[in-house]
Amino acid sequence: MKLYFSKKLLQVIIVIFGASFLTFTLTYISPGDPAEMMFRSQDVVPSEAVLEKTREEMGLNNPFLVQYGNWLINLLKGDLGYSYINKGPVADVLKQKIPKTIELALVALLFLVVFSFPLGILSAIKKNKIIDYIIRSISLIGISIPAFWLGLLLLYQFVVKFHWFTITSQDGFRGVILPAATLAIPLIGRYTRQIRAAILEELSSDYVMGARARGIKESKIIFNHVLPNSLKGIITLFALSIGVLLGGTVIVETIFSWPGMGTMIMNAITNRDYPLLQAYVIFMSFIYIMISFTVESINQILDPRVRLKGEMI
Amino acid sequence: MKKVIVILLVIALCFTLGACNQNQPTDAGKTKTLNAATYWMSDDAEPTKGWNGWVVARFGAGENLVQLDENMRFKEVIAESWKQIDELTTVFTIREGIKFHNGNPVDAKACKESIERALEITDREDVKLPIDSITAEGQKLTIKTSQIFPTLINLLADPVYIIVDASADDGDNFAFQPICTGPFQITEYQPDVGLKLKKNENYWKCDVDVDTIDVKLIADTSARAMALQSGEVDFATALNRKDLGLFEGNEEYVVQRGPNLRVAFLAFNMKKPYMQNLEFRQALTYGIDKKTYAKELYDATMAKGPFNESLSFGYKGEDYYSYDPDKARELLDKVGFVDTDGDGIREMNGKNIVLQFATLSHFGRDAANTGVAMQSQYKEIGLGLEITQYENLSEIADSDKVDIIWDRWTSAPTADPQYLFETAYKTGSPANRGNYSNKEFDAVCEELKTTFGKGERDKLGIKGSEILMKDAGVVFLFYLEGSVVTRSNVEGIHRFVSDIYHIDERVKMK
Repeated sequence: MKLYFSKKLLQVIIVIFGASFLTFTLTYISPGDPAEMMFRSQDVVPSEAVLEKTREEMGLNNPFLVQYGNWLINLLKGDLGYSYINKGPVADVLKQKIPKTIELALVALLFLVVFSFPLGILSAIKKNKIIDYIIRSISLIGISIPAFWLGLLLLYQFVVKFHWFTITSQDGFRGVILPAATLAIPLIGRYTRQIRAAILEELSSDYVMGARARGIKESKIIFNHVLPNSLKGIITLFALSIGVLLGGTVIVETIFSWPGMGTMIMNAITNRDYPLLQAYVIFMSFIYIMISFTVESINQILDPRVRLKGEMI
Repeated sequence: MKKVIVILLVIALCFTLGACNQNQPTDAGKTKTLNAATYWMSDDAEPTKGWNGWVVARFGAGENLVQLDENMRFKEVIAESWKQIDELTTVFTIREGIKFHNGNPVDAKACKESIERALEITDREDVKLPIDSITAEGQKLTIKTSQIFPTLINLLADPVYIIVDASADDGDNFAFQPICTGPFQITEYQPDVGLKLKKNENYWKCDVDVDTIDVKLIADTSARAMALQSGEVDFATALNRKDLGLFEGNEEYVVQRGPNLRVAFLAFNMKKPYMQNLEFRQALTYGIDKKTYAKELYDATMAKGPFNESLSFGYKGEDYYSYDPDKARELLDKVGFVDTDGDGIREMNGKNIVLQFATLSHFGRDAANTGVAMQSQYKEIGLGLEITQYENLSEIADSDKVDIIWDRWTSAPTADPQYLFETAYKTGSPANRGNYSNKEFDAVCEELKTTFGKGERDKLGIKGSEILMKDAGVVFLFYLEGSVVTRSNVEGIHRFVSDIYHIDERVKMK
């Protein structure tokens, strides 16, 4: 167990270090002067003298490795740096954005689980019947609608027409429903179809026929045997979706005025806000590593064959 | 099993619908709350930084000694009058009885400290004042410049010089809740969400009708329009033309619209030898149908000169080079750029003329769309055009590859032509991306530095505009349109040409 966790920790360090170095390199070699972009983000035209002073203050005149080294040393001291566009410590910016992003992602995931599983199962057990066709058609529409259009459509229907929600209410559960639904609907469409396909595949297995022959109730077969066996592949996909949702979603955040990480990171990229960008990369690397670790563990629980000799659980 | 699935679906539906309570109208008692939507919030409300002061001024929190009214005319605010004693000295009489939001009195000393604070910490180079001394005596504030500086009043009207209680700057919360003198006081400022303001009970001018203002950041234009439609906000700005159609002619809303100060233009790169040829530049200008671009691409007003016609120094005559492809072809033939190999593109020194159109990714679709439209129109006159989006302005300025640069500017935020002339077109100026240089124009800029009197300065503004237009070094494309939509229960909100202000003490709710 100790060995397993040591290995995992080493992996985490290597991945985070690699990702941060790669991002730093890519940002460094991409065109654009962060000092100028910082002013430009405010429509301020600086003189060359001011620009030079700002570059010096931002440490941009240092060689690449010195810049990266300084950032790394500060990171080890717990200092994520100063966000040029937000004019404040990166930690403070993330502290504001991360909870809102997590809130949105979790509610979207809740919708996803609550809707896609029943619909996927129903569609599978009603294969080629009217209800199956309806669910599949709706799923296809859900997958095909662009997020911005879906968002506006939901706003128009539920805010303008029905007055059930407000556009700007970000406090409380009501405020998160529409943006979460906008994020979740395409995913529900996608996962409903995938759950349906996975269940149908399992339903054609020999053990299902055997179970039916023994007179086991269909619901027991589905929920006790078919569903757990179908979950393996779906959980991996689910986990990747969690990562995407936690990364922030620019379009949905813009339409619903949701102060999440999507818009933040887009601004950071556009304005070459290195410290914020680096912190985001660290955060996302960590999230993906944790997700991968969790999925691995769940899959090992669901399927003991996946367990590696002496490594886990 | 069917039951289980049905139960799950019912739970799912209940889960969603249960959360959808009917929107109850808020019972605010007798409190009058104005709900507003804004498209932009600065990272904080420190007026001296960048353009942050616009947010402070926009919703009635901050006031200057002097301000610009909705028609870009000066109005006395904290200063009840001012007098120019000599070429270097101006004396302001500070109005009696004004108090800051925290109750501290506003006198000349407080104004002096506020202006000195702004001069010390602002990052805006364009609003720096050449101050020799500022002296305060009771309500008399004397500003002496170190050189002749005719735009002192104009610059003092910039939101950077909003009068704040410098003694209340605690270095922490002040940037989010600055202490000013306006009819409303900021009580909450969240850059990603919006701001809240309350009525200034001690407001010097009148009793303010509205008790609180709740400004919500809604960056998406369509979402802003829907917030108005749903009744969630009473007031919104910067809607696009299609969305404005929803409110125009509807008695529940009042729509005010018109060109604002933002001007989009093309600068020809004068470093290129062929761009030195006036007839070539004229041909390029004749080949652009900016009237159609303005209407179809941008929902904007076609520009003739750098300043829109509603300004006293805006050019009001006929456009110099209206779209005329025949004239463009004629001029190109005249300068010897003809198509000898019959491929539809004219040649210069034996090579096809393919001009390079440059824009910044920052400017988005507007800029790129101009290039795409020009590509098609230039083809008709036998010129090729390639479009490149750059990340950095300096890349464009230094690039020898660029021929035409798309740019956008707020032309006269302080109601004077000098700012734009000196920043964007004067020889060697910091934002002169096309490296434009014209001795006659530079002379106008020099004259503006020492000319007092609005009438004279307006004349110089028009003269400079005409030189730029006639010389065809810059093609002014369109003025962006500003719009203000209010619900009929709101009165006293005006559309300011400057776009700096929205709400002041005149706002009322029925």
